[in-house]
Amino acid sequence: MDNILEIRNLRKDFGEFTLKDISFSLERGYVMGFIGPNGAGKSTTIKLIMNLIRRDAGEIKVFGLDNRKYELKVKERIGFVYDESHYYEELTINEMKRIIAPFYRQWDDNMFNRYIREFGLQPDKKIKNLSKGMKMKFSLAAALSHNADLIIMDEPTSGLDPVFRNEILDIMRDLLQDENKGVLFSTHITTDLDKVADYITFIHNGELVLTGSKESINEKYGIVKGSQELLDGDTRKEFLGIRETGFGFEALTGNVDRVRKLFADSVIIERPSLEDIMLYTVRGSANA
Amino acid sequence: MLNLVRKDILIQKKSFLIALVYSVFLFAIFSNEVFREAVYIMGTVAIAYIMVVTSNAYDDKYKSEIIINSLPVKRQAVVLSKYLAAAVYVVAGLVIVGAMGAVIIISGIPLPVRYINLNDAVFAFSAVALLASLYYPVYFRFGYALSRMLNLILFLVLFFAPGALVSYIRQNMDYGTAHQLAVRLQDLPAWAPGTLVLAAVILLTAVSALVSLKIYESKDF
Amino acid sequence: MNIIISNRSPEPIYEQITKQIKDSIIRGELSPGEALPSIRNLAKQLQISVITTKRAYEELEKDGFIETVGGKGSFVSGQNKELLKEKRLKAVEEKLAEAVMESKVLDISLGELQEMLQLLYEEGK
Repeated sequence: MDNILEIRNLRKDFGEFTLKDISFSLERGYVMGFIGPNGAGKSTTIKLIMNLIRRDAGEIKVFGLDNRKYELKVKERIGFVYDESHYYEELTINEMKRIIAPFYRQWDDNMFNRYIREFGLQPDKKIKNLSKGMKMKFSLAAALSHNADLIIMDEPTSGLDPVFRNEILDIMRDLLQDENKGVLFSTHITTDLDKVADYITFIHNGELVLTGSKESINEKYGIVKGSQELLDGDTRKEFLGIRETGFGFEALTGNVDRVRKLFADSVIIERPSLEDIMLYTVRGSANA
Repeated sequence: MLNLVRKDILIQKKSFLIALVYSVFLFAIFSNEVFREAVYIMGTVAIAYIMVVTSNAYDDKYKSEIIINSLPVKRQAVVLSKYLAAAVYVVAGLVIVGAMGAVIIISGIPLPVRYINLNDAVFAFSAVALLASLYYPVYFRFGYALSRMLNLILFLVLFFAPGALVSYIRQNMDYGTAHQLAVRLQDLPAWAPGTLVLAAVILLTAVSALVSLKIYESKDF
Repeated sequence: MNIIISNRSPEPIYEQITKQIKDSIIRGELSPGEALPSIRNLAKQLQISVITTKRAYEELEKDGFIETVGGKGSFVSGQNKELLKEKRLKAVEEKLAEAVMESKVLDISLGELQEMLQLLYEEGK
């Protein structure tokens, strides 16, 4: 299989926080949603991929190449978008572009100008006078204008309105008409991913909770609803997280088939959203 | 690497204007009998200093190193470009104060000014190299805010050290040794002091760059 | 061809797609040899993920409704529509047989059953 991104046993110890041996991979031609609550380690992982942080152990391969040994080759083909603008804000969009462009051998000015027009940005406007959404669009334009094969986005939609978030998703879909490209998209707004992501990787407290195709996750996971009496010491163990109310319980299972056999028709099983999976898992681990 | 130097210049176009205005004041204030020999050196060092600090201030303000190090650039290049940029600022400073001096002479403004010469360039370059060599490792290790404090100290040291050194020698050495040292120095050929200083400064810069590279290589952003 | 997707339905999205494309083929809206939209294009149009449309096409391929030619895309397969129709016909037969069995248990006469069927058939129009 042709992986555009491959991460194996990635570890980084900050003392107060440790990213613990994360592994996942992304095939060419797909979008991976990278989810987890704030502070889960998403940005740390992305910074490790971008070599902004030095890893303590593990392996990161982009386009099959080690991201440190082939740093230049790898970064030449990555487009990055971060949650905050780190541009020189006194500069105009065009001035900033003139700084970035010469670093990329494959920079395409026509493409950049097309995106700028499409996004409704004024090239002679100073970056500090742009709204958050506008800055994000500029970032995106820069990320998409050097024929990058892997687009890495760290919380690109946080703090943006739904209309603009949808625009970003559309751009990603456009991008994926080319089956050689891939997108890694970190977010805590999982509804964006219900629509566009092919694969999901979920981390929490620096640990990998799950990784796989959205289809397989949809098949394995389920929200189970039933009456209180069904819960006892043994059955509780079947669930990753349980929410009990005075009128019954709702719980997340990672093995729908087993639960169906166990409880038969005494429970209702629904398809969980990514948000359900995230909420139940995070709550479940907080109780444990 | 040249792209990085270019970046440092593009983000502080304003500094060139400030340098120009500064050089006017420089000549207005320091064109007197005491400072006339040092005016070009002082001006160039000050301009280079302003430019080094300003570009780092912008990098710090927006945490732009995150962007820079996400581009296809090696960390080595980021470090070395800062040293190279300092040299470029010296050239810029020399051009600006040199031109200003020439303008003053040609336009006949009655100030005791001479034309800039090679000696000015060598000393300005050496002084900036010395400052940068001490400053950059601290900047790369501790960041902008702390390195500013060091800067202040360096500046003061540079101003007072020669005087302090002379009085130290006067107090602690008997006349004979001091005299002998002075004679030895005078015995050296004319090219020697400049060359020795330059060689020492180049060596120092090389060591400093190596230290900075090592620091920056393992930095987390 | 229309494909309408419900995010609220308990039926997985890929199954919704598979079913609707199958229906289109059986109804003759899509004829053998006709090209289907690419996996990526369909995903974009429907605003769903690529892997979902890919799964749908894989299912269709497995069931012999479409063929995928590497590098060229997917096409409605040439296998005769009659066979597919027969399969569905058989399914209808089985369901009717079930209804007949149930009727016999409940002592419903053939006449009554026919009447019921007629009513249902006309209602469904």
